[in-house]
Amino acid sequence: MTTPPTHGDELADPGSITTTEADAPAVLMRNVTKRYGTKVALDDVSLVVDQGSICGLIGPNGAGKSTLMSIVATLITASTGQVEVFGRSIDRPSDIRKLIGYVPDVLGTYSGLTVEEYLLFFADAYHVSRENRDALVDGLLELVDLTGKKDADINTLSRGMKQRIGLARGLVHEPRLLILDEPASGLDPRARIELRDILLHLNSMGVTVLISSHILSELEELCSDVIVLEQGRLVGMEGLDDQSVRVVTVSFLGGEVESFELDGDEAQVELVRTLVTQGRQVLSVEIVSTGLEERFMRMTEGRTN
Amino acid sequence: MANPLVRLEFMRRFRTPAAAWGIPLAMVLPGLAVIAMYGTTVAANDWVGGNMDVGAVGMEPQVQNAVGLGMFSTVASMLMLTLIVLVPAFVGGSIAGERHSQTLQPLQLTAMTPGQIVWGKFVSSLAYLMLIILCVSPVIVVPFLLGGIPASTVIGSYLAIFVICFEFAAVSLAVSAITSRPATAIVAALLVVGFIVLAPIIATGLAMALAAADGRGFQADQSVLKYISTISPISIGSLVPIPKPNDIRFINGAYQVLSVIWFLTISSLSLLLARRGVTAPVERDR
Repeated sequence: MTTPPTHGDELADPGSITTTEADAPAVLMRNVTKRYGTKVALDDVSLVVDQGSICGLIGPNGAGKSTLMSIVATLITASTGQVEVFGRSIDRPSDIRKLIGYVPDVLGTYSGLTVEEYLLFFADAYHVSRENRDALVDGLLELVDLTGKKDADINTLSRGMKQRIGLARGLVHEPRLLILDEPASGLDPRARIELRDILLHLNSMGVTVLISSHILSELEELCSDVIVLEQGRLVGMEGLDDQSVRVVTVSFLGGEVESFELDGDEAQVELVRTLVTQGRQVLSVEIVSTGLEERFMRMTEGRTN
Repeated sequence: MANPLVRLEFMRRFRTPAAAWGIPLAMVLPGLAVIAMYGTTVAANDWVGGNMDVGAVGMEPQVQNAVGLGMFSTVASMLMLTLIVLVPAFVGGSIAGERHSQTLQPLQLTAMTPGQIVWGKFVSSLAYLMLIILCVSPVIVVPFLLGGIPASTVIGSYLAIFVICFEFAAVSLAVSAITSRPATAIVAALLVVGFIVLAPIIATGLAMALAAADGRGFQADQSVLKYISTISPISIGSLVPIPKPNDIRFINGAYQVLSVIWFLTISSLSLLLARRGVTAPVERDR
């Protein structure tokens, strides 16, 4: 994960930005503060979301996750600070909206419309050409595995299906950045797995994903980076790919299994050496977690909401 | 259809049970009202000494004309009163409803401009209202066939009703765009439209009464009274051509132009306010 720029960095001066759109981060926030009256929803937040990453946004209720996402989605403005999406300032929202797909936690639907009509409407609203829109909608329904529900009344769909329709709606204009606000809330385990698979597939196609969730294990399976917010402040940004912190399970001959929390490759080698020295018969060592939960607790110093 | 929102709104409106019942009701109920009105008017005329048989056949032409004119005035007035309630009730929830059902934000993020969103909502609402008004046409035709009303008056009345509806809808849409809950928006739209319609008329009446009490009579402050009256959208009705013997309109001449200016001002300001209300980013839509 790229280090976020701060007050002292050369990027602090908007005029000094030299990055091109191709190598610019998907999202760049610099000293962003958002106030609602006297309440500070975001407090001097600076962060970077790399292109092609799946970045998880974690934090308790009221941490500022939705506010941060709404600012990036150009739905609300920051009180102070600077935000760029793919190197473009969000001061011109119409430029940014072409690049982002936003999926809120609740899918607002129109009564009396079929799934296909709903998506066709958004295709028209995004000025998708008439020649392409039918094929596009069919493709999106296939992607979210709802082709069979094409002619169903959208209000009769389950929450999981609606969430997938929301995802299809967010993709109708083929955005480069997908912003998902608590997409898994209220979904059953099967729907969560399906959603995760779709997001991984989209990411493999080059779509950057910014996703918020309360469910740490879910983000752990999905994300390459995580950003932790607490009470409007950024308390941590970490890459999960390096797996420097991990939980491993060691299987022993005879069926015994033990878990260990480690902080890197060397610690893992040392653990195996110690176990062998102790005469224990190690069958396998498996990384089961990158220790996101442990990191989260460490970053928030054990505070819970 | 260039604006996708207009097509969407039409699709939605005509699929609702309200549409299935609303349009036939709009045709049948006023028809029944006219039949009742016809009977009442004839009976009233008979009671005050009119020399006619019940029914148009055998009715003296001048009496028939008076009945036709009386019925037309009543129908037009009833239609206007209905619209004061119907338009805010119909349009008031349109944008607030989008906000409440969380469909406004996705719409704001599309390539549609705030102006297109407002215009789509406005045109679709107005077109549906026009359809309902057109359903009342047979009711207008009955008094017209009885006589006493030239075609120009009927057409002019329709145009005036359309223009007044336009202003009611614009004001209601503005209220809707700055309100979060549909029910609140409808009530607020009703109050604002009611105020715009009635306040100038009430103010004029009070001013007349005060002038009369002051001993100056109705004539004293007529220019001021006319000026105040032009603010009410109903003053647009003063542009409708009326047959000479019955033409006793209060607003005339330059004041008719003023009523058009007020209409244009209030309507365009309302649409601009509505546009501002759906423009993102805004803090309220969080």
